[in-house]
Amino acid sequence: MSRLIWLGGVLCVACASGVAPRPTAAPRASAVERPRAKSSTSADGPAAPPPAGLSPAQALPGSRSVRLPSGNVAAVIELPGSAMVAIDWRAPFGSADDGPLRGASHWVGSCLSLRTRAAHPLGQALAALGARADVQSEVETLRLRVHAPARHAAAALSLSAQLAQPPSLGELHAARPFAREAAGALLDAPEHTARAALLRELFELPTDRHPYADLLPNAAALTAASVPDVRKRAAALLDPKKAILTIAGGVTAQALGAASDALPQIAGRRSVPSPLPSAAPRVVVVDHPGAAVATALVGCLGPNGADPRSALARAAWQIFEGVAGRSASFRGQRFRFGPQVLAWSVTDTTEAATAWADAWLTPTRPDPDAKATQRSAGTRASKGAWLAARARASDAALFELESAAGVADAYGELLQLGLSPESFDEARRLARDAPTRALEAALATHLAPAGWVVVVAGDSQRIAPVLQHHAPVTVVRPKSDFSVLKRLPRTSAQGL
Amino acid sequence: MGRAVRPWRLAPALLALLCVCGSVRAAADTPTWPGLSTLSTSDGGSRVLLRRSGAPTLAVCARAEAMLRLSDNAAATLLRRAGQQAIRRSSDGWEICLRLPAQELTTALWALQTATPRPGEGGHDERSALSALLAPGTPAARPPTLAVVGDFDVDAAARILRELRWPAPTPASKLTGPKAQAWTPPPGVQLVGWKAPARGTAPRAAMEVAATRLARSLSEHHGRSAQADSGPQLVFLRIHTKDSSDALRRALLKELAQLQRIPPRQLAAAVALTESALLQELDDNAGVARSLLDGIDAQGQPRSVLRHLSLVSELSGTAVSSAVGSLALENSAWLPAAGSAGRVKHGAKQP
Repeated sequence: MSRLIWLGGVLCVACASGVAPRPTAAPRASAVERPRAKSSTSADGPAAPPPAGLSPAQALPGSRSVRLPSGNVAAVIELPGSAMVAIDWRAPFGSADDGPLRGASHWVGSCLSLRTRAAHPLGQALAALGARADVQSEVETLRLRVHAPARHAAAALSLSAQLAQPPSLGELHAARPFAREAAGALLDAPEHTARAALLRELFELPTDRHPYADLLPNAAALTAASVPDVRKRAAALLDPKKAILTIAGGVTAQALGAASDALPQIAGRRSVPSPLPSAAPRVVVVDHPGAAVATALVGCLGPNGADPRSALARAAWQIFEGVAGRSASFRGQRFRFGPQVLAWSVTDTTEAATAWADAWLTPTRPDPDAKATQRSAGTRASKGAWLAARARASDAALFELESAAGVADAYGELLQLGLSPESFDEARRLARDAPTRALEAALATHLAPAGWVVVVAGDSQRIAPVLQHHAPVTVVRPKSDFSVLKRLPRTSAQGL
Repeated sequence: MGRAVRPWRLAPALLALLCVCGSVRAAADTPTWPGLSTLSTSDGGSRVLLRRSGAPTLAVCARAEAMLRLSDNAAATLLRRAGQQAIRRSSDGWEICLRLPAQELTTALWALQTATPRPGEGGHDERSALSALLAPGTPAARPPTLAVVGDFDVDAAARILRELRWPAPTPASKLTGPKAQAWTPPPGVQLVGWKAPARGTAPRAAMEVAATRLARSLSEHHGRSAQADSGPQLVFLRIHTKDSSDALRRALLKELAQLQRIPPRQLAAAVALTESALLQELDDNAGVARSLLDGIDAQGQPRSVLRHLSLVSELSGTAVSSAVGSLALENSAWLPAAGSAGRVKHGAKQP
């Protein structure tokens, strides 16, 4: 009988897949300044650049809490005019929770991923809607994202709930080779091994065993794990009561469910060793013999993601990136219960990566008081460049809000971290308006090379000799659990 | 009893069927762009402005035969201040696409007048690398085009745009930008591209749907992850595989043969996925700006991508089957992954 009811529910959901008419957004105030300088243009270009624009506050779009027919509470962000809907479903558990069942969360993630493929009925149903789904297994999250045309929002939501059901024993057996293959692919890719090596250096080595080390699953661990044990783990991982659900796009909250006062909440608290020993500076090369491309990561630990100082630390790293104008990008990672990782990354050819590491090991400091524009490499940055970098650090987050997918990502991360939506704009305000002294202090604290760990994943024969000029280098092998291959001494009197 | 068909086991298939019916029943949720305006300028180019209420950021996308003068420091600083930028060189000129906070529009428009890609910038892009292989040669003469998309004061922006003039383009012989062909895909990724007619035409719509189905069948039958994508002049596949190019070529040939008679259910899925990819592209200001410029380049009609959407949703199986011929491998350009033997293969015959 209950199955008949369930089928009836499916029918209702499918028939109700059209969404209610969208409210028209009220036009906002003008966002463009009129040109202040007289525009005396010529074929040679403008006579003078316009002044720097202001950087107004821009809060996240408002959300509504909705109790879905499944009983879950979702944060719904209505974006009138968007033809897409993005569903961000997060189980607040990941490799940090695997314990002795190393690789279990990746394995479960592989099961969900197989369900999205064309050979699976759920994959076929998603394709019929024009929906795309992907699954990511991370340190403290198992994440499912579904993007679909907004008119199919309800059907896509129903399919998402089915995708996130705990796998059967048969599915786990079938997914084991797939998980092994995926793990092998991770260990072949410099961008993944660089990240794993950085987390290992920052978290695991100082404490002997730390959940945030995010040890990549290896074939031996996946072979040794018992399927019934992993199934129990999967049931805990995928408990729908603990899932965090965010829905953004051209939908109305009313069309999805009943209004609710509650917000999606994370239950439980992970135990993280604290305080962590401070990381000593070191340079590690993850060896990928013959690799044509290298990934370099420079990172250190920063305050916890919910700590008010967290935003200032991230802003400091972003500002320095903007002032220096190098081809690096900020790739920090915030954790709910542990310290965040502040990091820059660059992926390029081996030559570029080594040149980059060479330059960054002797960094310059921005000087907000410099009056003159000094443009030659290695000199202090100008006041204009400093201000521009502050503006960019403040505004970078805005670019995430252009699409339904970006809004769902931003909201989902805030809910995962236990932060309020207001903290989104608060972080931007800090980068824009914080007193110079506060930013200077953050720069001094979080940009000191003495606390950095430099990881370069690529061909060690080509990379290590360059890095040896600055510091002793440790070469590790990713496929042997990052065991040390060799230690190379510093070849120059200067450096770390 | 054990062999009895349990009704709930049919649920996923039933749901899939209902979803297909639903997608047929529901009206296409196509954007309409009521806030679109076009300015004609003395240089013969077009400036397109599209106001989208509520967008927190703007996109400014400009294309020109050769983008202005080199290495203007002030312009470079302004561009950095303006926001995220992507510069690429395609077979027929330069494209610069800025994403910026709304208050920086004035800055961006001023900067674009003097800015240009510097040597070493641009070209690191799969579309431009494939485009250059498919249509090599010197850029054709073309007037500059520019699109602004987001929530902004259209009148103020139009006033600035009317006052801006672009310098004469640099002769093609003096261009110093990087060669797009030098770009190679990252390890484990191979790119296969085909020259395609402009968006807004039925053959192009059929090619995009066929490429979507091809990518899906590669994943389904050969265990390779593949995505279909397209640029102004091409459709292409991005395939994640450890295979050699020869092994992948064999797999592609096999799947192309299968595509000649595509079952209706698979056709419906390929159409839905292609339409959804287009809608996703139009959910992003930069994607809209590029689509507007594609429309101008192809037919002088910035809205032609909207027509393209309806063409995709109306495709028949026959149209898709006939498009398979356009995806013949002898007409393709192929970029194998970095580090693999034979860095660039070019099997292209010009259509």
